[in-house]
Amino acid sequence: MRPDTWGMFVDPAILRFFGQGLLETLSIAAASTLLSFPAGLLFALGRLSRRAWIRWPSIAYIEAIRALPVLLLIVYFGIKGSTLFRPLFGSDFDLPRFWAGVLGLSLYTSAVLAEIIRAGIVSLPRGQAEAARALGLSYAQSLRHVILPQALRLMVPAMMGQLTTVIKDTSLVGTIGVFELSARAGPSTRSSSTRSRCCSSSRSCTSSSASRCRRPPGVSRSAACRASHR
Amino acid sequence: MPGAIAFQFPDLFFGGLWVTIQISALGLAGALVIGTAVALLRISPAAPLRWLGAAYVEFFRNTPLVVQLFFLFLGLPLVGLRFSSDTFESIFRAAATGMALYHGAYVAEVVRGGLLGVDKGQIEAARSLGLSYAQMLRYVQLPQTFRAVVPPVGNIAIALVKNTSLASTIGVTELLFGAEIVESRTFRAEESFATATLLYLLLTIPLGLAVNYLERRLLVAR
Repeated sequence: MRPDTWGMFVDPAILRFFGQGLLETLSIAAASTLLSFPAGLLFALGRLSRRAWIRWPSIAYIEAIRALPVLLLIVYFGIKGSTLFRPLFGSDFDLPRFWAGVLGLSLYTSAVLAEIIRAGIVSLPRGQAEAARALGLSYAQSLRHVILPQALRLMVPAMMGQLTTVIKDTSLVGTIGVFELSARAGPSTRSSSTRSRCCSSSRSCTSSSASRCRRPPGVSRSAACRASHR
Repeated sequence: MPGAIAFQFPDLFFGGLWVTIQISALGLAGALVIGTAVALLRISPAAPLRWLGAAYVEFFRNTPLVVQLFFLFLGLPLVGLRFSSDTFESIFRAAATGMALYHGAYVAEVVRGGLLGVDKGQIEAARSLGLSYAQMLRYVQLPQTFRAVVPPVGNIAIALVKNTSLASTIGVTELLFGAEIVESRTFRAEESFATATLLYLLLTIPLGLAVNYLERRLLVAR
């Protein structure tokens, strides 16, 4: 605790720095929510489908993704994201780190949202779906007009809980070099220029190890690097 | 072939898996103790204790675990607190402590739900039989609570195993960090991450099955 250094937290430049991080955090959270909600809805419906060739892949996707740490997905896209999309967008495509993070986060969130949505749909009384079908609505119409409006309302609390989690999980995107809120507060801000240079040069410099050489106070950088590679 | 690479770098994959297991086990044990204590605070008859419990839960549930880990790892030494003089030992302990503190808040919420779910008549009967508040907790309310909270605590345990991957951000060489190091040495990203994935599944799937099994057993027993 060095009270003499606390003055920096009212420095407008530093506050602006954190403010930009907050914006980055919010945009990552918003982008992944927007991406993962439709995907989650699709996989939830897929899991409830009567056709086995739709149901089984959906179950596999949801269960496999939910069993993995989010950080693993984010780091994977951080390292291999560009290569993955090169067949689609040309050989010099470079996936921005922001989108690598959003992709990893959305992949995970879509699986969790799928489970929440499925729980909402399953918890509706069967009579609702049966009555809708008996009235002559098609499956799509009964979903659109009867089931989803009720189910989505039931899901609001669980969904909000998940959105809180998404906002917290944006802190993980800092590990692949997106300067969101927690990365700005982290130890690397002292050497932010070196770190961002290192990270922007190429992901392979990295393989995240370079950006991971975080130094506890009093340990030299090379010692910390060696340490983290033990 | 994913998995084969694990035998080329056994110290990073299996060693990492062992570190993951250790952090998970220590974190879970700590989380159970903290969670029970905080839940008891939250239902205590004294209002300041209730506020203390609520403050703990809200603080730890609403800040990212990464931020908490950084605080434990970098913030505590600034106020003169160190987990250990050895850097490796100290980041390992910081990670385990972070897991316990963070998931303790979630366990507290679940246990509080369980405590409130115990039939009021049970508590009144215990008190009218002459048991003190502490005895009533020990012999009546807590045993029933622990039974009821096994499935949700199991889900928290699964989340905890996955969240140990965040310990890599403060430099603990656990499973994910091991996979990243292998990736940086070999540039075989798919293989190393698929292997890490398999090893994580090796931990989480049996845990999930155990939770399902307990869930069904306790449901029948009621």
